[in-house]
Amino acid sequence: MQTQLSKMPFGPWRGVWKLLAALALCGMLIPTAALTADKPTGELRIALAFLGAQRMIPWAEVPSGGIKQYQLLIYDHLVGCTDDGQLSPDNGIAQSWEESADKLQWTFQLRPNIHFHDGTALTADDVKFSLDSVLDPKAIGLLGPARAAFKEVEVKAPATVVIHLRQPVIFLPWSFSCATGNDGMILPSKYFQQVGADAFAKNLIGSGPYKVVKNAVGSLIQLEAVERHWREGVPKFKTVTCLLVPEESTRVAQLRTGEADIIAVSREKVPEVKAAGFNVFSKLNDQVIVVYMQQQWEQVPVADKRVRQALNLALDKEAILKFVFADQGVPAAMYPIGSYGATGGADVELQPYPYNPQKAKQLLAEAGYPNGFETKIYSYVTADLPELPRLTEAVADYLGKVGVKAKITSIDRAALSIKREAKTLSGELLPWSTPNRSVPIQIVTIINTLHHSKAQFTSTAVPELDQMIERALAATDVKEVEKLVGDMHRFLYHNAHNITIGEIHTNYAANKKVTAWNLGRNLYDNNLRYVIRP
Amino acid sequence: MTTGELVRTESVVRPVRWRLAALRRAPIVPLGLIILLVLTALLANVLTPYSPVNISLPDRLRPPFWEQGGSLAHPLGTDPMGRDLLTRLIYGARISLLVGFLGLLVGGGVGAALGLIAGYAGGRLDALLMRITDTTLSFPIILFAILLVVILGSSLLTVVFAVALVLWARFARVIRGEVLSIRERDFVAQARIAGSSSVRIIMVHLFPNVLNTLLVLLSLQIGWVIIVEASLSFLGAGVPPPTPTWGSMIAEGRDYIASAWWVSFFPGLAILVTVLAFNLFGDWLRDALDPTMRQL
Repeated sequence: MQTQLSKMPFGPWRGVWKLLAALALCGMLIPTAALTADKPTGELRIALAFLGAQRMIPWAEVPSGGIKQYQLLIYDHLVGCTDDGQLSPDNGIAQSWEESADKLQWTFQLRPNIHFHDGTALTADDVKFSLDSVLDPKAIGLLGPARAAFKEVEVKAPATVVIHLRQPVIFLPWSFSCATGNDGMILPSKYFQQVGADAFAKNLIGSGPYKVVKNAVGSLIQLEAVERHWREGVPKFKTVTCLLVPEESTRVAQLRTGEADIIAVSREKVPEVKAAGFNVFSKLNDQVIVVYMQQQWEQVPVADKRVRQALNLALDKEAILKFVFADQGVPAAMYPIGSYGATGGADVELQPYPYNPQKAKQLLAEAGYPNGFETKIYSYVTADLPELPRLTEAVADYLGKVGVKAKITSIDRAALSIKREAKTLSGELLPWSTPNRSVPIQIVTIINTLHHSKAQFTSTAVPELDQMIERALAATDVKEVEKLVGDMHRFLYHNAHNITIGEIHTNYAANKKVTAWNLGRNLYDNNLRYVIRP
Repeated sequence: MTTGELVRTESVVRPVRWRLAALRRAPIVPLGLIILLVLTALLANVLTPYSPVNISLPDRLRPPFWEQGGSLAHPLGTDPMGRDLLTRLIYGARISLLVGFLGLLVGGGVGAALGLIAGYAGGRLDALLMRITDTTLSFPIILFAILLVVILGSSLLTVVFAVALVLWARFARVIRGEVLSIRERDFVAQARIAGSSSVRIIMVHLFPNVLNTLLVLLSLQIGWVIIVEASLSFLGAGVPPPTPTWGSMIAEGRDYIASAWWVSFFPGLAILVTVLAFNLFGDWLRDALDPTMRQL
């Protein structure tokens, strides 16, 4: 061995050669490491109770129920938002926006160099197409009757869009921001119109940090990261898979076995998953819980204010929040406004309806129902609210104690939405939830969506309330909007247009792949973008 | 020997003695369990002071009395809505037995009738009925029931209807087989010659001779019906809440398997014991009435 070594050309310079070889090896490794660090890696698997109809077209599906979460990874909004729920010119398609002096135009300047997943550039034409689709009266979304204020969307230049209005809409950017719903998501105009909605849904294209590689309806949505996103940079995970897992026990088992990295978890499971060593991230007082009374304008018992008040008084909300929602919530005065609404003009003096079954029976008798009445209450599975079937049973039981026999009817959420839109739920009861809102226009928008007589999902038809909503939408002064929010809050409260339960936290559990997560304050969104950021 | 009597040959004398011996060896435990179950279901409102549907949220998920935190006030614990588990088990027995008996009555009745007609008529009618039977038997019951629930809404009657719609085919096939072997007997031929109508022949001569088979089938199928009802309730396609059914009780407890095992365990145990009791009873009945039916 020694003889062979001494014969080798580098003989006494072995040490030097070894050093040079080591340096060369390092030289090769460093670029490789750098390249690796710049690529998304691994898979993130998220188990959710609900994925919606997976139509993947924003104006074809409401953002609630967890749908906006995955759509946000696929599409970008016209107007950006911060994690804490404010507008931002830094992370939307529009880098600036301006209201005209007469308040009848909004001009948006688009950010350059944003491309769709097929490489085509995102231009004003795409913005016009998407907004026109959202403004179509047949579209599903949060705008509702507020669409009447919009006159036209104009392409002024390849990177300039002007929205013309029939009346001022001072909060217009909020409507198309990721802080609110999915109305501002921008889709590729040419491709969509070329292939049509059905084909687009099967091979869809967005401009978000992820593109859809598989959409198995009723099973999963699989997303693959783009190489580099204009806002998010290089996404952290190569693949994000959203799994439909309605059963909570299955989701917890998946988290334990590693089949899922993030799961939606009910309030009462939080101690269990924490004790098992998983990270739990909470969005406090995130959702306001309600039982809607549908179609109150018809000849139904809930058309009478005394009946609606009675149903509010019949429920022990504190017991429901304590035992059904594991004490992770507080009663609220009147849905859809929760405690966040204090900064948006809500009346903080209003107190939740107390538990008073005797008074409830008295009111029912006064309204002509001394022996109560029969109705239906619906039970279904939805994301972020796995307790809903138990809530339904609890509500039915409390109502039964005052004579109102609410027959529990199990239904698929998508089917229920269709019935709600078709208005075939006359006088029936629907447990539901909505995000807690703090911005005046967001509060007005949701009241508009739920209570304007012309809204798709309205449960009321009250001219006085319609007028307040319309005045708020047309107001040009923020203070006036806030005042009207307070007026509407009091109106809804004193007329008991909803059976309000309270507001509850939203929780997600995650394994070691996710050690930090700001769930944010944007509506219908738990800020998955935070998780996928490098 | 008159027309209509069974032809007794030497080959059946020993089975008769055997059958009498079998009757003396009645399965005490399964029979006792069945009687206990029926009595419990009938006397539910006497046996328990609790309502099976009214909730008591502060009492939710209390363990059985032998566990820490349990008490004899709720011997088997409470469910996620605070309802006494034992009470719901008792009332759940009513649903299981009701669906079982009604399903068997309707399904068994229709199936037996069609089996008699198919077996006696033969020819194209027999072929047609058996093809329909084959199609029905190949259809998955759970899917069928879910479809019915979507169309008719979930209720006790929907479950009974779903069960009967599949069950009749099982009865039709077996009864038809029995009739095929009986219709060529002399007494049937003699009845025909004597001018008896087909209806009379079926009712007076064929039906009594398949009655044993029918009784055995009924006893053996009730276990299957109870499991089907529990399965439908578990899937949410059965009797809607808050009515207690064993299947839906198992479903309510599946989110609490790790922390409140009793919620799913006891209704599962109830199904196991009930189905086992009926199956053992049915086996004994089969052996007692007609050992040649052991293939059932």
